[in-house]
Amino acid sequence: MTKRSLPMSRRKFLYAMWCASIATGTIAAGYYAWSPFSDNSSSSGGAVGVRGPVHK
Amino acid sequence: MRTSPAPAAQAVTCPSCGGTLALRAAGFTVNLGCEYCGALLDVTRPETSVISAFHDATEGFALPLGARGRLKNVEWEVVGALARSDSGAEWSEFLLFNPYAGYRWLVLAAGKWQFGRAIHDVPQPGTNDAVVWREKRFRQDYEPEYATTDRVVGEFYWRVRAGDRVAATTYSRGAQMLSVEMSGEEVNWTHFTALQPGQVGRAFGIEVETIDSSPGGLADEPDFKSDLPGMIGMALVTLFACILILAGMGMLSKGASREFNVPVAAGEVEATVATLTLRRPYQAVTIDVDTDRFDNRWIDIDYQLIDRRTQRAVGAYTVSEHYSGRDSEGRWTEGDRNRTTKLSGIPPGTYDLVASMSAQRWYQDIYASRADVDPAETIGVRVTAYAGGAFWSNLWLVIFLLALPIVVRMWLERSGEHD
Repeated sequence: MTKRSLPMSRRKFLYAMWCASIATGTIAAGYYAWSPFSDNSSSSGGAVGVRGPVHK
Repeated sequence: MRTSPAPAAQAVTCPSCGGTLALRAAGFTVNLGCEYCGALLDVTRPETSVISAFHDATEGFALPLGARGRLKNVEWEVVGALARSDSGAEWSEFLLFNPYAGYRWLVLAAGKWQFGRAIHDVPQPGTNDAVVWREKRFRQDYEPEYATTDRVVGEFYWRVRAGDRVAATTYSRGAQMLSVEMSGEEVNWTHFTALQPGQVGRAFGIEVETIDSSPGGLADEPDFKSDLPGMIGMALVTLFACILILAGMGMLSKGASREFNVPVAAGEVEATVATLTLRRPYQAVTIDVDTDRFDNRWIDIDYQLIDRRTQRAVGAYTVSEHYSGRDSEGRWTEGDRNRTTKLSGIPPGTYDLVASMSAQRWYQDIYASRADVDPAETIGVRVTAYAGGAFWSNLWLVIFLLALPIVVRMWLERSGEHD
């Protein structure tokens, strides 16, 4: 009558590893100056068209 | 474990030992185990008869027959007790009775107490050997196995005797448990909740022996402790570490800037803003634009960061803009004159940053105040370039990745999945 259960510490350990990998990824992103949100574009030419407010 | 409502008390004489027994649920009780000699009596006939005789039947039960205690805001009396076992555990079950509330169960297994009530809204089968009861998922603890009744003392509302065997299993969800017992065509479900250590002893005013833990038994489910507080703590520590990493690795060099007067609706201005020398293997470049105050205008700005050695260029585009007006809801403004542009992953080298800028009027402004249009209007723009820069937007990615397992865990715990 024993219950099959994953030890809780193992789940926390796995999450700790996940956190460590995220921190490592952040260091790597810092080293390579990488961001998916950077403004790099391969060529210029963004200045086209008419702009204006989107208000209403 | 079965259920039924409630009636009145009556005295019965044990034909085996002559002892006077109180029949506490007369009219519902079928079997009565003599608390003096242990004989199991049939009380459904006018002449009470002995079904079987046992000795020392009451020995070893944590609660005596007739004990009264208050649990769940109801006064209960112990009217029956069963000693039961399966291949791996032994436990006691006490039948509680209250004339108004009916029957309940107290189960003592592995030193832990559970309070049970028979249920009639039968749980539905779920996935992976689980069942769903009242929209909550209970996970099966073990495959069904036979539970045997070893001893019977007191009175019961069904015919029970030592040696009875039923197939039984349990399903758990935190401190709650569903027990199902199957015998032939009959299936009985009971819902149990765990009681606090000492709660039964206090309720019945007696010293009840309990053990912290032992293998097997209905109550061998460890108290469920959520992983979430620990995970959230780790996430916050990691987030703080990432903020420090971003700040530390994204420090800016001293900036180089240049000012321009950009004519409005009169062509493009192009010039080299600054020359940057990048020494790290990879580096970010940050470009800030600050402008004079303007309204209902926009400035298109194209950047080219050109490597002097290879003449390869990395481009970027931004727009400085600001608009305002008035409508039925009052005055409104929109846009941002000062913009920051960040280039990523720039290899080492000497670079020229070239900016091309052109300013335009918003057409409504042209028609609204054509007389005020100054054909020689210019907007002052200061462009500053820095080597380095932190991509704080990366923090959104970090937060998403940290939160994802927490959200999944939260969902699993809410749905009763603890493994």
